[in-house]
Amino acid sequence: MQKSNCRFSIIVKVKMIWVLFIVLFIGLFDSYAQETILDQKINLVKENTSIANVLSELETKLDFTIGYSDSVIDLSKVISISVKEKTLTQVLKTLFPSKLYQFKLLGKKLLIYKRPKKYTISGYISEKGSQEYLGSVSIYIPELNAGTITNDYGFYSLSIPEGSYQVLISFVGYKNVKKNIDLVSDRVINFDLELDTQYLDEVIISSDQETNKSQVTQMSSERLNPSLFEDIPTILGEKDAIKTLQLLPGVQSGSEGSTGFYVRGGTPDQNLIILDEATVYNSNHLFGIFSIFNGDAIKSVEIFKGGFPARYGGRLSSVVKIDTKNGNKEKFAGKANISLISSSLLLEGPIKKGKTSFVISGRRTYADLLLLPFMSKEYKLVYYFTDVNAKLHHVINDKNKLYWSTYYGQDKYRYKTAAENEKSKQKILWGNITSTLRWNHEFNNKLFSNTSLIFSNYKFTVSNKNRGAANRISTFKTSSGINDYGVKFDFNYYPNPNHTFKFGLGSTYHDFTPKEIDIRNISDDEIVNTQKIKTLESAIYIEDDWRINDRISIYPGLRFSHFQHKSKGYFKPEMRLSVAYKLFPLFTLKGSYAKMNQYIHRLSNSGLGLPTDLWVSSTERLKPQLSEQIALGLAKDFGNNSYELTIEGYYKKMNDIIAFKEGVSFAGLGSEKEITGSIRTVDFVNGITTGKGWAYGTEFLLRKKKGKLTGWLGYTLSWSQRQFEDLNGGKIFNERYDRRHDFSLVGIYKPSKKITISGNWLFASGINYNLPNTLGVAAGDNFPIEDVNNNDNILLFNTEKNNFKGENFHRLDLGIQFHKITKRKRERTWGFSFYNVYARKNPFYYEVSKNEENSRNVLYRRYLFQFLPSFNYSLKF
Amino acid sequence: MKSYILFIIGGFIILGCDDLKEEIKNKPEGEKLVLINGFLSPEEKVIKVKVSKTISVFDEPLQIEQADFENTLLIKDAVVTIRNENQEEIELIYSNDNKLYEISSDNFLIAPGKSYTLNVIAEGKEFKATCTIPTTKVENATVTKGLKIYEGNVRENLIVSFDDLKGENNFYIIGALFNTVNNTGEDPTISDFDIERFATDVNGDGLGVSANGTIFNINTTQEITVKVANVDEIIYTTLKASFLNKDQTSNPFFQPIIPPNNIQGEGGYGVFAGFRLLETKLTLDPVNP
Repeated sequence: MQKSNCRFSIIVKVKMIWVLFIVLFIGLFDSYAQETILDQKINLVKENTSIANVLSELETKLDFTIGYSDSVIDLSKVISISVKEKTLTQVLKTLFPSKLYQFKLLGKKLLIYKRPKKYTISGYISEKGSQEYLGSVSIYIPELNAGTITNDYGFYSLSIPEGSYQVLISFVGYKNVKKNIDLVSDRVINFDLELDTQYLDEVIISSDQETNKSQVTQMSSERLNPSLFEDIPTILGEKDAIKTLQLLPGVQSGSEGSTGFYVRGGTPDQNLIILDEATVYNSNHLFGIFSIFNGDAIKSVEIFKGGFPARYGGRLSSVVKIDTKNGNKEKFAGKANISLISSSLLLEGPIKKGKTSFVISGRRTYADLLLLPFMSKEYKLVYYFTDVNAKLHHVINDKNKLYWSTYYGQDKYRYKTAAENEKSKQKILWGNITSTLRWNHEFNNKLFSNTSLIFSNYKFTVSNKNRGAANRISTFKTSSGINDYGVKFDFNYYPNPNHTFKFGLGSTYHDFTPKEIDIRNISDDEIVNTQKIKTLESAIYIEDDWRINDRISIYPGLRFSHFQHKSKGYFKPEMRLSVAYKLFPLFTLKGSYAKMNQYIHRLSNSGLGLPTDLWVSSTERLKPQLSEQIALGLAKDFGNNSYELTIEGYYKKMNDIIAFKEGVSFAGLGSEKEITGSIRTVDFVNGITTGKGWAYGTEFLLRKKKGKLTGWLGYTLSWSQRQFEDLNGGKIFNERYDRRHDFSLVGIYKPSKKITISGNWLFASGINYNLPNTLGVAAGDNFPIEDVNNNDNILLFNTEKNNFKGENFHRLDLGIQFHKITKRKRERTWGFSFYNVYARKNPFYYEVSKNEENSRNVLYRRYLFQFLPSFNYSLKF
Repeated sequence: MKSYILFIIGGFIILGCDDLKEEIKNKPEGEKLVLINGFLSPEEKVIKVKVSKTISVFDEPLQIEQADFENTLLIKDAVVTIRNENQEEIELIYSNDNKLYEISSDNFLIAPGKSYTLNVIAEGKEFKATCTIPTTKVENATVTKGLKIYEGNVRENLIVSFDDLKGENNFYIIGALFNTVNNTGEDPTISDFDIERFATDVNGDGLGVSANGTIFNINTTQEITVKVANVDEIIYTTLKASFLNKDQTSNPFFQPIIPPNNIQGEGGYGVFAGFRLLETKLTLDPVNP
């Protein structure tokens, strides 16, 4: 019966489709059949007469009237015409051959009008004095209510009707430029923007006519300028872009002091961090306390939390795009900085004035050097990290530019012991190398391209060399890492002010070494075990920032990604869409949808972003992670664009996300034996489990962008949950960093050019901990294989994952900077920062141990940083 | 490597300028559970099931002596039965000596590939679990002894090697006892395999598996009792949880392992599963270091 019902339903549907098709066909045919005056055929012969006379005769013959504008259409022109059996349209096209003329019939009235000719203004916008290209600068023509913004390379293109206009160029921190142009042909106009000393460093986040939050379709994104993270107080005075990002709603920090960040319920490995187009796999120094991004070298930082443009892909939760400076093309300049734990130096200048420039910056910590005299011969412990950023920029000609940028960063830890007969040397090294060669090419004034060749490397190595009695030597080395080799082609096309198309394709060859071990021992046995995974990740995309009318704009995008591992290929289409609807001129309702796939994953036990975490890829047995996110929000600019308010709600569903099974680890922090044991016994695919995740919440951000006092108030209410078949008995559990409330208040006050006072206060709900809280009799002595530990027959365990909600976290940081321009026109700054001013003992982790007084187990909160003062001194020259 | 942890923690302590810990009152109290662990094998002469209760780690201090602690938690009045696929059932009797419920396997056959159901009535509640005995077992193992350097120290070493059981993911528990020949009066010594007590073949099916354990007096003729068990994954995980969770509460980077549970019934927890055991004795000639 069910089957026959189903069949009946199909028959009805097919018939309905046929009826619909026939109705549509008849309707179309009917409308096609209605002949208009423009289709009527006439015969006409005229010699040496004006167009006006010809039109007059046509009016008489076909019984209609003609409307036109004298100022646009010249009817006095004398012509000769001879047509036979031609339609009125054909006759009119003979009279007005230019394609700019248009004919429109309104009843019995024929309108003849001339479409204005369009021309394109294009060029680059750069900073006056340094010729640094500026991205996201607004180019706006008030008369047409049309505009655009520069791309990441400072290029803009705007096609508008011919005429005379005033062009308004605006960008935060720079003086506005107004320029009158007479547009009668395509023009190349480059603009230099002068730093606005009045607002210098005051406006903290991009804000201008075209990039006001209520004016752009993109949602869930923020762009930070370097001045922001130079002003905000941080731990030990190290200016840190990532720590500043953690102050934004929707971006949560991990443990205290960590630069690991969690975006909208995601994990740190779901953040795509791009440095000059190269993916950065490890963004931390000193076990996560500092990020690898040296603030001196950074030009801009942009984060996307949702509504991802189609040009980005490969991670589920966020995209952080970091661009470095190109270097001053006009004069040599530099900046030296000394802080409590590190020093840095930046040098930049022209190699060939106006054509080629360089910038190089380096940073190194020096605690090891200071402690060296206190180390004995028997015992030596050394730790430091170092960064180098270098970039060359060369202008080949107006249409071609080259950029080569590279980053090298390394953390080094060495520990040596030497006794009478025994020596031991341990080394732990980890770091990134990235290198990118980019070629900008303008095909014409509407089509811009960038071609990138990209290399990225991450490597983590542990080595141990022991020389025992009788010179017996054993060596042990384990490493993991990844090498990426990529090529990418990106195109920007600006057909008119209402459309900006971005499209391109790219491919990256990933060469993973999840684990490589080499052990030699006393018996000269050598154990070498190398795992290799080689994969190819490719994508093609197109997106359009489309302003449909003054109220509605949409930003659709489509990305096709492909991932190949051996014979297994994954092909995944990803839809992206952002929509904005202006309720009022500066008040916009926005929505977005984004689907993302992630093919490479980081395996982590701690979730802290330690260098021991391993990057591995999807394989035939391990599917890519997938997320779908929808977001809905409001954006409002007010107070003469001094204030900005955004409220966004989001829901993110994640599938095939990965986690370690219980008890699995790859490289622990224990003994060498523990590491070799775990390597030997665990293959990464078998050690992990896949599952689902849900994250949802609301974000609120109120910002003050102009004036002596700037800053923001951010609040996030969120939930993040997970479910894995092999964890927590298959039941849903709260993710470790599921924080219900996250509040941040950031203020920067500049009463004069000589002083900057800043502060931030954070409050966050506690995170979830796995706390063993149950004591029982262990199963070991019931098993027939004896273990030396079987006598210790107590089992300490917990039955629910993340069973303890930690205490709330809050902290106040303050900073003050004194600026002075010296007689030699150098800017000198003394900065003092105070971390955790009221010495809150925020939880780092919890520990169950015996209280020595009453022999009772108690719960201890372990905490790290209380009040931490620091200073830094910088000199710009 | 331990210096690596010390360095991180030490660094934090220096930065914090304090003992960096504070007692807090809001504690997550542990659960009161009935803990049941029963591991069945055709090679075992006795079928054993342990039934005990759990307490919160923050409860009043218990007797410090290990045996007393265990006595406090043991449940001695439970009704423990095992049923086979033919619905034949046998009750296990509590043994004060061994502190568990047991019955000779002569009275109840445990056969490879067969399923068994455990029923426990304790603390006024009923708990159930089922398991299937693995069909295959490791048939042979070889042992060699020699010297090995670990972290700069020369160690007398025992290597147990055997062939993996092909065609499936296997989980092994490895151990050994050693004794000097002609010294039969003494109890054999347990070789410490540390984390290498646990091995799986997931790195490559069918490859050889080996594990290193400690041994003493390799320059004597020794009798080695090697034990290799092919166990259900949940036995492997629960034993590994006991091993790894020890003394880790002060390690901020360690995530405690939640032992698996296949006991059905509210308030019940533990593992009832099967394994196969190879136990073989070998005599090794002296090795001169």
